Amino acid sequence: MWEHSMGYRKHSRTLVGVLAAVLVVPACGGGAADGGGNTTNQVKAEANSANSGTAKQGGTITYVLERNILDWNPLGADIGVATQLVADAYDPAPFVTLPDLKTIELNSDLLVSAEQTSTSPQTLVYKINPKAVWNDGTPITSADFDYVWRASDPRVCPKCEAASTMGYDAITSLVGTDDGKTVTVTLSKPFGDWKALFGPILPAHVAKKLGDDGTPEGLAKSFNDGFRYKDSFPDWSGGPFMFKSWVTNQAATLVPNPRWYGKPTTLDSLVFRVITDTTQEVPALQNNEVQIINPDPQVDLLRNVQALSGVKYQLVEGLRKQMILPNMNNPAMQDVALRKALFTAADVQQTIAKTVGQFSEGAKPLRNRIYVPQQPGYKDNLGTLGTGDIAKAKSILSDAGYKVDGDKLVDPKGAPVPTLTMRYIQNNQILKTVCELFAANAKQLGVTVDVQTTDSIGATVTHQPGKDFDLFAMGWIGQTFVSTQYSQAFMTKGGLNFGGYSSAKVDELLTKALGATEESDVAGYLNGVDAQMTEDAYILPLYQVPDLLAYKADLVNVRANGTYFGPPYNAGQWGIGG
Amino acid sequence: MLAYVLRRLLHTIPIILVGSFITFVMVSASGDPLGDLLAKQPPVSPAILAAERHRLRLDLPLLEQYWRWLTGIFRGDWGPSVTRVDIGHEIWPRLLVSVRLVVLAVLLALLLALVVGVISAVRQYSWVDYLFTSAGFLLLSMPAFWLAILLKQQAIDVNEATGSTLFYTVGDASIPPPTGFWPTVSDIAGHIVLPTIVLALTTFAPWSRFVRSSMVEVQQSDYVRLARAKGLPRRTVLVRHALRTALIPLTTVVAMDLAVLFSGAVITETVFQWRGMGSFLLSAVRDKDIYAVMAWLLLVSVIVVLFNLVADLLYAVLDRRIRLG
Repeated sequence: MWEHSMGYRKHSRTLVGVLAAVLVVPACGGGAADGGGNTTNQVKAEANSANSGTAKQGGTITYVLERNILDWNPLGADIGVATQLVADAYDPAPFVTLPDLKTIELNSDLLVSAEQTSTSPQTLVYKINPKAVWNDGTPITSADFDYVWRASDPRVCPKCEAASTMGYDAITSLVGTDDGKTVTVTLSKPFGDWKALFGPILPAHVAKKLGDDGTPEGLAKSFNDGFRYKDSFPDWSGGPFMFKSWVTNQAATLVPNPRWYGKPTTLDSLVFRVITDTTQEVPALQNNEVQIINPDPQVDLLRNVQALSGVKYQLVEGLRKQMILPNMNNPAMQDVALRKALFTAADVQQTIAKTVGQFSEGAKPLRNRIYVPQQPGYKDNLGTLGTGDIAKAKSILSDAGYKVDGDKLVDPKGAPVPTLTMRYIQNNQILKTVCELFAANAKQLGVTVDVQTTDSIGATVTHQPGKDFDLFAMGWIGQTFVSTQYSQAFMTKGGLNFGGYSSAKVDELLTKALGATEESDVAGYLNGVDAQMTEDAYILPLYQVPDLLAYKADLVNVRANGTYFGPPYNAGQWGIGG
Repeated sequence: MLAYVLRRLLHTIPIILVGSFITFVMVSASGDPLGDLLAKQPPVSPAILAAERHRLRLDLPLLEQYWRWLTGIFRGDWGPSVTRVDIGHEIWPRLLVSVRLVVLAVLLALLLALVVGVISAVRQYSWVDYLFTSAGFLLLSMPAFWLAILLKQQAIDVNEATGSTLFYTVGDASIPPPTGFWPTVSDIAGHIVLPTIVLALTTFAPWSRFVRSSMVEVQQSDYVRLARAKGLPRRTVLVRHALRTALIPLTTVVAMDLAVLFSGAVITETVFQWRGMGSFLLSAVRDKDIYAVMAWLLLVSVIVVLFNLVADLLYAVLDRRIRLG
C-alpha cells in the first residue's frame, strides 16, 4: 500500500506537470508580447485619412457586431448601435460625421449639394445626384425625403415610433422639383442642427408596399412594422451594398449593389458577424475568421491585440464619455455646496491614471460637459471641479456652514450627511474603480459613499420605482449635433434629464442654441449652459472613452470613427490592399 | 409499462405548473423589461412606452399575465418578447443547435468514460489507473471556459503553422458558406471539433469516475466472483455481468447531465459563439425577457422529465430484476 501511495504521488506529479506544460505553454505564446504592450502596429495618422490606400478587386471583409439586430429601421425608436453600423453600408444619409469628430461632410454620392438658403424662414435646399437610384432602379427623389418627414413628425404620424422628431416637427413644407431631384424644405422656426435631418432616408416606394397608404395608420404600419423587418431583412438599398442574407444572431451578408451610383466598391461581399462575447473577438481576428473588430478597450484585450502579427489597430478618442451624475431628486444631493465640494474633491486625473490611462496615453480630463477637445466649441468651464483639491472642497463646505463631527460631515442644520449611494452598471470594472476612487475622495470630506451596482441603467436613471441612487457613474454617447441632444439632457423635464436638473437660465440658453443657425452662436450658448452647470455643480465629466479598432493589416480605408456612424461610415471604400 | 409511463408523465404536470408560476413571479420581479428602452438616447415618447408596456402585457395583473401565457402555450403562442422576436420561431432552431453540439460530444464522452472507467477499475492502482485518475481529476477541476480558450489558442497555432484554416473558433459554419460538398463537410467539421472536444472532456471526466467506482464495487460482489469461479471467460464476466450492473448508476448521471446539456452548454456556447439554448437563456435573462425565459424553462422542464423517464426505463433493460408497473 505504501508503494502504491508513493507511486501514485510520483505519477501524479509527473502527469500534472506534463499536462500543465502542454496546456499552458501555447497559451502563453499567444499572450501579450510584454507587460507594457507593443505599440508598433498602432496606426497614428490624421483621423480622416488614416490607413488610406488603393484596394484591389475582390475579397470579403467581416466586421464584428457585438449585439444582435432586432430592428432594421435606422430611424426607429428602439434600434441599437448595430443597426446604424449596417445601415451605413446600404442606406444613405445627406451628411456623414468624419472621424475627426468635427467635420460634418456632405454625402457627395447621394447629393450634389445641401444648403441653407434662408434663415427667415429657415429654408433648406437639397439637390439629389441625378444618377442616384435605389437598387430596383427607382430614382431617389423628394418622395423619399417626404416619407421620412411624415414618419418623423408627430403632427402627421403620432403613432410612428421615430427615434428623433426634433426639427421635423417644425417643417411647414417640403417641395420636390426637377423631377423630384431638388428638395426644398421650409421650417417654421430655425433648427440649428438641420444637417441631422433625413439621416438616413427611406425609400417611399418600398414604404407603399409596406403599408403606407397616405393615412397616419398606414404610415405607422410601414414605419413601425414594415421597415423593422421582423424575422427578415431589407431587400432594398440606396448605398454601395445590398443584402444577400441575414441569419439572426449570426450574420448579415451584403454584396455590391449593382445599381450603385457612387464611388465604385471593390469587395465581393461584406459580412457583419455577431459575436456577443468581447473576449472571443481577438482569437477570431487572429484566426482570420473576422477582419475588423471594434471592442471596448481594456488593458488585457489591448495587449492581446498588440501581440498579434498581421494586425493594425487604432486607439482614438471618440464621442463617448464617462461622467458622474448627481440625482437632484434626492434630498441629500439638493444642496449645491455639497455637490460642489464632492466634485471638487474628486481627482479626475488620478481616476484616469488608474483606469483608461493605463492603456490610452491620450486620455486626459474632460473639462466640458457638451463638447470634446476635438470639437471647435470645446472650452474648459469646470473651474475647480474634478481637480482633487481637498482643501478647497473643505473650505466650500465650511463656508456653507457644514462641520465635521469626528469623521462625519454634519450639515448646517446639524444633521449628519447621510450615506450616499453611488451606482455603476454591473461587470464594468473601470466604472467600479471610478466609483471607488470617488468614494475615497469623498471620505476625506467626511462623506460616506456606498458603491453599488445596477443591472439596468434605464431602470436606475429614469423615473421608475427603484430610482435609488444619489450618484451614478455612467457613459454618455455624445453626438455632433449637440443642441438637439443636450437640450433633452439638460432642459427642465427633458427626456434625457436623468438627474432631474432644472435651471431657468440653462433652459433659456438651450432654447437659443436650438434656434441658432451659426455654429459659433451655438457654441457660445452651449458654453454658457456648461458654465452655469459648473455653478450649479451638476454633472462631473471625467474623460472621453477611447475607441479601439483593430483590423487585418492588408485592409485599406478602414479607420476608426468614434461617432454614431462608427467605422463603417465609409464601408463602400473598404477593400483589400493591392 | 405504458401505464407506468403515463402515470409518470401525469405526475410531472403539477410540478411544471408550480415551477413555472414561481419562475414567472421571480422573473417578473427581477427588473423592468422596459429599462433599456427608457434609457434610449434620444428618449422615446410616453405613447411608445405605453404601447410597449401594453404589448408586453405589463399593464395586466401578474396572475392574468401568467394565465395568458399558460393558455397561450396551447395555441402555440409563447408570448411577446422584449426583443420582438417570435419566441416559438427562435427557440426550436436553438434547441437543434444545442443538440447538434451535444450529441457528438456525449457519444464521445460516453465512449471515453466507459473505456477509461473500465480499464481503471480492472487495473486498479496500476500506472494506467493513476494516469487516468490524474487526468480525470485535472479535467474535473479545470474550468470549461479555460480549457476552451487554451484549445482555441492551440488550434490557431496549428492553423498558423500549417498555413490553412483547419479549425474555426466562432460559430457553427463559415459566413459566407463554402460551395461544394467536401468544402462544406470540412467547414462544418472545422467548426464542431473544438467545442466537441471541450464538452466531451469536461463531461467524460466525472462519468469515468462513476464507471470506475461502480466497476470496482461490482467486481467485488459475490455474483461476479461466482461467475469467475464457474470458469466463465474473463471478457464475459466483465461485459455481461459486471459492466451491465455498473452502468445503472451511470445511467442516472448521464440522464441528468444530458438534460442539462440539451438545455444549453452555456459556457461552451458562449466561448465558441454557438447560438444554442444556453445563449438563448443568457440573452433572455439579460434583456429581462420574461416570456423568453419562460419558454426556455418550459422546454427544459420537458427535457428533464423525458430524460428521467428514459433513465427509469433503461434501468429495467439493464437489470431484469427491475419491473416497472
